[in-house]
Amino acid sequence: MKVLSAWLLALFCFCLPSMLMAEDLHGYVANQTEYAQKLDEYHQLEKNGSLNPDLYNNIGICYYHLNQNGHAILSFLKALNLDSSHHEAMQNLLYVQSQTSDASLYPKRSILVQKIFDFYNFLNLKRLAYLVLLTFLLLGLSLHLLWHRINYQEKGYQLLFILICTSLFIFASTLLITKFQRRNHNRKAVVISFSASGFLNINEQGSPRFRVSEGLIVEIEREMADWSYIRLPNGLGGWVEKANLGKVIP
Amino acid sequence: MRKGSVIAFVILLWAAILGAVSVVAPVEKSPVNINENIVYIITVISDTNPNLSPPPAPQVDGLTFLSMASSLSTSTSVINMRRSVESRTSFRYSFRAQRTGSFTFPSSELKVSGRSYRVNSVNVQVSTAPSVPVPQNFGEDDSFWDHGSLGGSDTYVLPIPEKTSCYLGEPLIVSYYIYTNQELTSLVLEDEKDHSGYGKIAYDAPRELKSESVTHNGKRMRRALIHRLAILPNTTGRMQLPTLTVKARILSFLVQEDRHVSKDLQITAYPLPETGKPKDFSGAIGSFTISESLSGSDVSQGEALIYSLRIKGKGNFNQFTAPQYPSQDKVQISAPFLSDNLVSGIYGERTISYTIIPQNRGELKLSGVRFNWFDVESGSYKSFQTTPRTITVNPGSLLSELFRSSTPLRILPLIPGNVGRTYQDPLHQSWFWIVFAILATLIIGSGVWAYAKSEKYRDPELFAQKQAEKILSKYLEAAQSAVKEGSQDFYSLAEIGLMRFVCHRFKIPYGLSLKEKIQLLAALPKTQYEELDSFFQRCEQARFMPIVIERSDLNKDWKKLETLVQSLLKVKPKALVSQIGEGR
Repeated sequence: MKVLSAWLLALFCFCLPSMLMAEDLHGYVANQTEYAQKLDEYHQLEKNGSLNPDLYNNIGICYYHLNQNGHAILSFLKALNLDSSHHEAMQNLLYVQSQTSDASLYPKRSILVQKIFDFYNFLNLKRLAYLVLLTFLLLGLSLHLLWHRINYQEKGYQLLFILICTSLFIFASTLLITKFQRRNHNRKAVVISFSASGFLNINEQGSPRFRVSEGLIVEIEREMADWSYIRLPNGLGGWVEKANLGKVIP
Repeated sequence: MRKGSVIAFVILLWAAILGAVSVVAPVEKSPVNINENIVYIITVISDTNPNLSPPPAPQVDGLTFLSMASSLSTSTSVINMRRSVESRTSFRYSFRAQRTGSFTFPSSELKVSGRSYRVNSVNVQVSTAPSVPVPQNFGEDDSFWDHGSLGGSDTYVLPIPEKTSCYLGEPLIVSYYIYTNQELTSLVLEDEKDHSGYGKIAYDAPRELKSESVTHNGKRMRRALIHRLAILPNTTGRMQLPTLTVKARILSFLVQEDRHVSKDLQITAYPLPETGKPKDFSGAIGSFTISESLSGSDVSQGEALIYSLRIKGKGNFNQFTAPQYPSQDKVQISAPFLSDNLVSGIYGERTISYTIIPQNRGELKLSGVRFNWFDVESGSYKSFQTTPRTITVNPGSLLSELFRSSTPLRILPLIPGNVGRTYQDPLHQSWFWIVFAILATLIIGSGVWAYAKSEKYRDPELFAQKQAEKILSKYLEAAQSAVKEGSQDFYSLAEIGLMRFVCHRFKIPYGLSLKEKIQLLAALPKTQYEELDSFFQRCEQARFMPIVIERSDLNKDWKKLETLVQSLLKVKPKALVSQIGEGR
């Protein structure tokens, strides 16, 4: 009896870790399958022509949970390209970016510069459009006040208002046009392969100028055949094979 | 056991479902000279090991097919339960152009793991310019392989490890060479069979097979590297190296295709010694040099310092973890952050960074972090202890205090609801442009209105004339239509219109009686005055006459009115206005 109990105890001790591990693994696989299914659904929506920052954000989250950080970052960038103030996509992007091997290549910004960038991102196309209309209305009103003032009235205040409104209107319109242009001609790309080598010349086979890992955001400067000349966040440039990159605007 | 098998099956199935595949097919160089070979490469990149057979060489009119070679590289890594696989299979087809001109490799379909993928067409230009022959690729150099060794075919694949024994966990590079005395026309890497006792990473898959002359077993042979693996033993004792199967097409008397399996070779893995093993051994095994750096020694309160530990060399980078920085009072220290610049995860540099945020001002002593590893060259454990440092923490700026973020970064959950609706930017929506156009119109309208109004002050006479003309035209139109209808209303309309016109033009108050107005108008030239007076009398008569006026009379009076208005318009109002003013 004692021997049997000892055997049972030994068997239990032996099986417990593997059972716990199997449970964990089972949960992990179930989760992964769920995200894979969701990803298929979202890709179908994308294929049907849906362009929505929420959709791209969700695609990015699915990719992240499926351990494809390059594609995840690319999807978050696509979401932010549509709506630069998309809070969830921005937070997810920062998080996944911090998990990549080449995170140290991104330049560090001072608090004030970062706040300026945050403000720039806050002004998405929709907000800028409202701002343009509002400043245009204010400009019209101040012009109206100037033109229809009583003849003997001073025009100093009206001119001041016009100056302020004109400046705001030019600022908002310039920003709107710039953002619109950048959105349609976004040259950002993400390294989607496990790693990619950058060479000084196309078709070079020697030692690479640099090696970058999955998830690094780069800027494409020019393209030739199956190669793209990319600029890394630290300023280094080189030719990499196009197959290694995923472009925000394909 | 059964449950585990089911889970393993689900993992494999899931990986197969998810397998993202991309197919690219460029030419290595374009344009090329007639003397050069054209190399067309089909590369299949997949995150699973793809099941595919070599696609047939494309048929292009004017190009002669020379040879085909394939290469396969797979890298797998599992870090913190996150698995990444990248498999890259390349098929290199060499062609020789028969003439100059432009050639197109047609688009085709490639089946990868049962799915069809499109291979795009590619153009290549062949020019006449003479060129220096490029280094010969595999199978292109006639002197490379021994022609005419009929019946003496001797081809085999050998694994050559950098050493035959190593420590447990120590990465060992194994190179696979093909040895032959024949001419090979193509080579396909068919299979890579694994044995127990090790993990492996693809270390190098040469893009071209470069040959070298060697003497092997007393025979003069040519050999070329076909594959290079990094083996990481995970058990001790003897273990067999992976077996590679290649399919080689040999040009002997006839073209013959043979399978060659790499020869069996065993290595021995020794356990790590227990003597001198540190308690906090990180698991790092290799040959490393360690260096450290701190981003500064003077910092403001709330600002961050980065402490970096650099590990450079060759070792099992994928199998050891970074040491935790010991926690310290009044200092916030982040978890280690890894940044790798590695080749196949075994050779290169790893930087471990810690973000240190001092919370109080003053002098702060930072305790160091310790990293230890097993040095394979000396066969002993080594340790690197960072130097303790003192940093000065200055009072923080108001700005940094204000903007300090307190929310930690994390991945957010999926956004629920309908994410499929299309997001439209305002510049592509009509409402924006409609509102913009309305505002622009209102501003322009306001401007025009203001300009018209401003004439009253800028040139009052001109303004009065314009007003008078407006009134006249308004009443004349009404009067003319009354004439056409044969209505007697003509006279009342004409009288009012003419009187208003005259009053506006010559600045006569409209509130005066008719008599007074006519008296003031005496300042007009005599002819006009008389005509005007008689017309007003005619109007009065007509309005109070009991008889019906004939249409012909109406027409006559209309003509008279026209003539009168024309003559009045010729009178310059300025001189008259002053006279009228004096008269009043």
